[in-house]
Amino acid sequence: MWLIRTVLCGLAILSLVVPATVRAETEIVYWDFFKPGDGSPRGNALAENLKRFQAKYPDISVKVEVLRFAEVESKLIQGSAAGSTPDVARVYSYALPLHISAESIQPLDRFAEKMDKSDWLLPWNSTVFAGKKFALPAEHRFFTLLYRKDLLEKAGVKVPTTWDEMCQAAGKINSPQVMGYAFGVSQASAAYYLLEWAENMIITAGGQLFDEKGRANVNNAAGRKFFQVIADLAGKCKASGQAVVQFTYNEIHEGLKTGTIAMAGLGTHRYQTIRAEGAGENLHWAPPPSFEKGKQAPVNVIGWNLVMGKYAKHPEAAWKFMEFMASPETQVITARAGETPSRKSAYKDPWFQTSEAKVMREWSEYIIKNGRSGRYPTGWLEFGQILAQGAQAVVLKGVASGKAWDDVVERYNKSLEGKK
Amino acid sequence: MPSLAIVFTISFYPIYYAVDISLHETRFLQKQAFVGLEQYTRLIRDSEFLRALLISLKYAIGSLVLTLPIGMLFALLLNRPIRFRAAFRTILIIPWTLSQAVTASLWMWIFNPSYGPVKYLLGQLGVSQVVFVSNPDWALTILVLVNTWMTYPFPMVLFLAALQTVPLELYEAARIDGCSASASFRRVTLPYIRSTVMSTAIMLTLQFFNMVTLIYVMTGGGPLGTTETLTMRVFLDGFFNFRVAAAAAVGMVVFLLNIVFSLSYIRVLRQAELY
Repeated sequence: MWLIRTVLCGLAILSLVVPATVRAETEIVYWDFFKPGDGSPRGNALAENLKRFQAKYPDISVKVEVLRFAEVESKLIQGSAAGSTPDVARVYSYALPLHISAESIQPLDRFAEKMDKSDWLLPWNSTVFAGKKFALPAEHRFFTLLYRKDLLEKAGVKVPTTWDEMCQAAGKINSPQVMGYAFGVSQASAAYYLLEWAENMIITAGGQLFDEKGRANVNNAAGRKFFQVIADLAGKCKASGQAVVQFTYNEIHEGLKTGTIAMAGLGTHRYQTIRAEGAGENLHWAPPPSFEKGKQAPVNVIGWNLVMGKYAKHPEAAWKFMEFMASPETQVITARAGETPSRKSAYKDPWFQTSEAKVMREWSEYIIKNGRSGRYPTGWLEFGQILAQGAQAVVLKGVASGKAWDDVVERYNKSLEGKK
Repeated sequence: MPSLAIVFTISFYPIYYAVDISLHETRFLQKQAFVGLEQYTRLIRDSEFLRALLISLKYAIGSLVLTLPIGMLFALLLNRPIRFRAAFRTILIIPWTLSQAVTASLWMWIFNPSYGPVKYLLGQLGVSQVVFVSNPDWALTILVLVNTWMTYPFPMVLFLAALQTVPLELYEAARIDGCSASASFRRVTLPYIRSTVMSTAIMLTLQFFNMVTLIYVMTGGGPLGTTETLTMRVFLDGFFNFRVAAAAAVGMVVFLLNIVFSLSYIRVLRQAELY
């Protein structure tokens, strides 16, 4: 009797202890720049998706570490140098080659083989580098034309479809109160605005910024054409003012919101925010102008990607999380928060048939038709600083566009030779 | 001994590390081949480095010659028995409580050529299309003025504390000797608080020389590189371009300049010590 009682008690204790041991959680670290459930649409969407992930994989817990987006590159590279990286992080398209070169992220091929390679708006190879898959695109955006319908109607101009038309139309609208066409050539904020504009303008003009070795292409007619557009907008057409030297993404965002800017190129991801913050129904989008009437401009599609840190402690669990976060179901939730899905099948969700989702559907169609993926050298940000100074010389000093562009190319290529 | 080890680790190891890195090539954050003084000789040949050095000096000296007198002026005013003194002290110290990033954003909004209040006011006066931060001739001056606005409360507080230690009998004696207010300031106040003034000057010079955030947010070094200081170069090379060795070399130059400035001030202070 005593023996039976002892065995039963032992079993009872084991029944309490064993499940806890078996269900021992694997904790993965995820770097994002939104705090889950912070009240913002994207923060709330992240919280919801984490909850769904937890329900699907109760044995994996996700520790979210929130970073400012400008910190991700340096922290990931520093962490890698110290042998410590998060399991999963969000990295911007521009920075992928940088992290591959710094070896701060690892290839995903051993995990990604079974994934459906055809269910993406951009080709699977868009995040394949030297034959290895390094990232899963979490969302897409591209540089497009945003305009204030009220200001265009007031001036009696139609939405321009070419840069020549833009020069004329914006020149007609431009006044001390309203800038006809705004762009930003400031060095502040890492010259991101100018970089984004430049990469799209160069492909629209039929050129390529860099060669295979990452050097800026010399004798680049497309580059000179791009600088000529800047010169014409600021000079010949008087469509923009010298204030563009001070403009970054944020100034243009604010200008479109307040109606002191009539038209500007900007990322699609800003569209809903500017509308919500005050521009309302006055703000509209149109395909970016091209150089040829009747021909749509190609766009470099960029966005945030999910990557696995080189020193991920739990690669299997990290992959499950990445796969989940890039799944069509998850992307429908983030789409409601303003992120354009990268998965084709996400658009089959009934939400995309609503008027709220109309614009996102249009963007996905534009991406399928005209979208490309850019290839960025590791010195992309340095190129931005040099490019900004070149563009500033055109706007402020009236330097000839060809000479200014050639100077940019020469300075950048020279910078690659020195300083290590 | 343990405390010495802590001090050594905190103060000297990072300096040693920076020197060591600057003598090597680097690939991202990894130290590569030893190259001796190559990074430094490259700097000497680099016209952009020399320009950045000049801009740093202009920025630091320009800010200093404005901040110190303004701080002193307000300290002298607040040291007098004026009405609402506590309220004035509180109001005058507000700029100091703002971070560099907030100050920069605030002034960028004020000077925004598209929707800023300065644009609006000038528009009311019939002046249109005036650019400030975008103007290469004005950008550095505006940075100096914004920096002065943000920093003057620091010397003001230190000077005010020092002024309150000056014995009133000295002023009384000066008055009996027929000293005017300005003579009293020059011959009594200033010599008495000289050490505070010099220490404040040292601290501010180091602060101005090492400043990045304000400049980065307001101009990013532009327009046309007219506000690219040495520390901006360190920041851009170190954290954007990942050329850590080049950044470390410029950082060492900044460090040496800071030492030279500090020693010069200390020397002046020792020579002129009267009390």
